[in-house]
This record gives sequence, C-alpha cells and structure tokens, in this order.
Amino acid sequence: MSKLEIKNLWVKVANINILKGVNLMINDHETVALLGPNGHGKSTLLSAIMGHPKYEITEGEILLDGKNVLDMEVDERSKAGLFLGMQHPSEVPGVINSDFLKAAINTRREKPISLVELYKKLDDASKQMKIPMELSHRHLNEGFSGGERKRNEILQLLLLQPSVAMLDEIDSGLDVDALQTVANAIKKIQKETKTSFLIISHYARLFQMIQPTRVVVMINGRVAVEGGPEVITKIDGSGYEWLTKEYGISIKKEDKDAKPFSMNTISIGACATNEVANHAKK
Amino acid sequence: MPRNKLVANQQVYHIPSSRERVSYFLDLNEVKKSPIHLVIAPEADLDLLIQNGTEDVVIEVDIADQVRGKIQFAMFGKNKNLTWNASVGSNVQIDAAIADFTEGKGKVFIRFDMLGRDSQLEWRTAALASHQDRKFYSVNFTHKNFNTYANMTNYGVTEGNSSLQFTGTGHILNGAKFSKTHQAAKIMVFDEKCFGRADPVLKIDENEVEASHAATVGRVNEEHLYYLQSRGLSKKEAKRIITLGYLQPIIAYFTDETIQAQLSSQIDIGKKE
Repeated sequence: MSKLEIKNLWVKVANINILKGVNLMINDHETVALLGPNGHGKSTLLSAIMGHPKYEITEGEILLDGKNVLDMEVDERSKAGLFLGMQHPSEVPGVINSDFLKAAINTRREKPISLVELYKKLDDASKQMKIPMELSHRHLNEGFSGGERKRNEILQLLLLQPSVAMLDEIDSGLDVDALQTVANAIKKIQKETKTSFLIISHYARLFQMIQPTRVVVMINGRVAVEGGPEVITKIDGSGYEWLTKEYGISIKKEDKDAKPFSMNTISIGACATNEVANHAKK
Repeated sequence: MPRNKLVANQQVYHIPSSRERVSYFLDLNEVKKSPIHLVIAPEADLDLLIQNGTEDVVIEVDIADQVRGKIQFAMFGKNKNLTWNASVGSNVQIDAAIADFTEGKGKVFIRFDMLGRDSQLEWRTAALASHQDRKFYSVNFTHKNFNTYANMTNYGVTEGNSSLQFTGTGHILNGAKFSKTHQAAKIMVFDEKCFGRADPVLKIDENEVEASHAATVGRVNEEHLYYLQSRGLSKKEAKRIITLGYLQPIIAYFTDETIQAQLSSQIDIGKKE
C-alpha cells in the first residue's frame, strides 16, 4: 500500500512563490494525469516532491505512507519509493550507464546484485524499451537522442520498481513508436504492480494509451480542478479557456522573460574525461 | 607476465635496449638512499611501473635516443615528495601517467629536459585530494632542440578540506624550432572548504612553434549529483561515481589490470564524512 499526500504545499524558487497551497492525494495503484498551462507549477510540484535543492518549501507537508518526505534527503526519498522520470534528464559524462544502474539497484538490496543478474535485468528492460544494450555501456545520457533519454528514464523505472512514479512530460520528444513503447511499459507496470503514477503531459495521446484513473489540473500554482478522463478530452478540444468560463478561474500568463534557473553559475562536469579518452584512442 | 623488477647497482637502475616491449617494476619502497638514478639505454622499449615508497625520493633519469614506451606512476598510501628529473635524447616516444591516491601532504616535481630532437612526450595526471590532503604538482617540459612535442593533461578532484594545485610549464628555448607544447589542467571542486588551483605557464623563446594551454577549476555540477541521488545513490556514492568517471580515463591508461582495480578502489570520497 502506498499513499502520497500533499497538504497545503507552498514552494519558492529564486524567491518567487510558484506553488501556493497545493493539496493532492495519490492513492495506491492510481494513475493521476496532471495537466495545466505552461509555467503554472506542475514540474515544480514533482521536483519539490523529489527534493530538488533549488526548491524551497515554505509551508505544507508531503507524506508518503504517513512518513514525512520533507525530512528525507533526495536519495532517501528514492529508497522510500518515489521516482521522478525527468523532463530533461542530466547528461553525466564519465559515469557509465550500467555502473550507475548497478549502484542504484544496490541501494535497494542488502546483498549486491551479481553481474549475471544485472545483465539479465538490463537485457530484459532494454528489450522492453527497445533500447540497444550498448547504451548501457555508454556514459549516462551522454549523446543519447531525446527519445533514448526518455526511454532510459522508463528503463530505470522498470529496474527500480518504485511505489510512486512521477513522470514529467515523458512523452515529449518521442516519435509514435517510442511513445507506444513507453505507454506499453507503463501499462505493464500498472497491470503487474501496485505502483501509483502521477504523470504530466500536454498531449491526450499518452493518456488515451494509459487510461488515467483521475485528472488534476493545476492553475496559478494550485490544484484548480479534479475530475475524470473527460477533463482531458475537454482540454484537448478547447484548451484551458473553458476553466475561466466554467469556473471563473483567471489564468496567469507564463512569464516568458523569466530566466531559466541553474544551480551552478559555473560548474565543471566530468566532460574533461572525454578529451583524455579521445586523445588516448589516437 | 610478471614484471621484471629493477634492482639497483649502487643506486643506479638500468633498463637495457630491447627489440620488443619489456615490462619493468620499480618499487620505491626499496630505495634506501635518495637520489637514485635510472638509466634507460638507447632503443629500449619499455612498460615501466613505478610505485611510490614511504620516504621522499628524487629520481634522476637519463633517457637515451630512440627509447619508446610507457611510464606509469601508481601512488598509494601515505603521501611523500617525489622529484623526477629526466633528460631526453632524440627520437624518443614516451607516454607517461601518474595516478595519485595518496593521503596527506606532498609535492610532486616532474621535469623533462628535451635535449634531443624529434622526441614526443605525453604526460597525464589523475590526482585525488580528499579530507585534509595538501597536494602540489609541478610538471615542466623544456624544449631544447628541434621539432620536439610535449602534451600534458592534469586532472584532479578536491573535496573535504583538501587542497590541490597544478603548475604546468612548457618552455620552448631558442633553437627549438618547430616544437610544440600543449597543456590542459582541470580540477573539479566538490566542497566549499577545499581549494583547487591550476597555473599554466608558457615560455616561448623561438618562432615557428605551437603552444597552447587551458586551465579550469570548477564546482561539480549539482544537477548531476541530484540526478544520481534521485535514483537512490547517497551523496557520498554519487560523488564517488562521478570522481571515478572523471579520473577513469587516466586510470584506464595503466596497463596492469591489478593496478587499475587498486587505483579505482582508492577513490574513497566521502567515506570519512
């Protein structure tokens, strides 16, 4: 049994309030579609739940099975059962994908996974996600296409088997076939496990494939509307303007001048390694 | 194949000429008195592994004409000062690397005097400074003859309260026409209290030469740490895996798999946090 509760959550980024009192509950084995216009707090909500350090929680609670998530470090949240499939997964040069996956799997086990078992799991998951096995021997997400990165996120989801999986625009950048592959993987997890999903997407197509049990719409940093799949159909047909007409909600325009946030103004990745590696090959 | 252990004859170690590559091991633990001398005969083809000892040591090296091969320094345990002064003959081709995972305070001085013409040298450093370590590196190539080439790549990671400094000097003297000297230094800084500094120096006294330098000291990308942590890796483990990835290409340069594994296992970032 897993239950994720978000109570009156207020979140600031760079001293600007993004979330303004979010209340949301995700029950066991639910698939919740999270919709809303750009810049209204959907990704912020997911990142805040996962514990991204740039998000400052100023008020509220996040509970996973009654345990206070806000007291946990990012890795503890992961081990507690939370997973975030990211919109822009980081490239981590120098870190071999399979080494990383092995380390991630081992955080959930008392006895380290054997190489044979790891290979089998990777092989199965790679086939399911239609990712070449060779990608597991490359640096993490480095040089992956947009679609490969998204499928690699779902591959990690398959391997880590969280109790609550949050997916942030996992369908962006996917072609039709890759979208079907991702949807199939989600459906398999829905069928075979008790994993709950909280999924952001701007497109009805993914939701048609995975059949969410509930739909939540975020406007102006709050949950504005909750309903069934019919809400997706309405948004897909008429956009978000009907919320103004029907519920009298004024929708703030996205601040397109806002500068993207970076945790490091200057940082050095492991990219230096490539130069040496390439040089050594000569 | 086991390596041939070098044995000193009155503090002088000899590597003879050879038609094929021969592996050697120089164990600085067995050095009784410094300085020692290493004489590499003309046309020697070597794969030399040098392991640090428990005392400061100075190695005076004579690399004769047409020597080729690899020289690898594997540094474990307690940090000690190391000085390597090499004179290099003509038509020499050497790839050299040092992997330094020692603990404590120490200085490493590496110097290649390129006396002969048409020689090529590569130098790579992978150094980890953690906890309270204080490490200083000076790597110097002096081009004294026609058409010599030197390239150094110094990479390091500093964390905790440690300090790591690289000074790289490429000096092309008058008369060393058509010589090329290049260097790059990068230091990844993990924590607020640690210190990293890279000083590249180029001295050019001749025309018709090539020279370049690059130096970067920067913090680890916090997004990378977050991404790894979001999959369950602790911050310590995330740092370890990033460091391993950063230094691995230089570790991979070592020809001895046992040494490679030993070096990788020395990356203990955060263990004492």
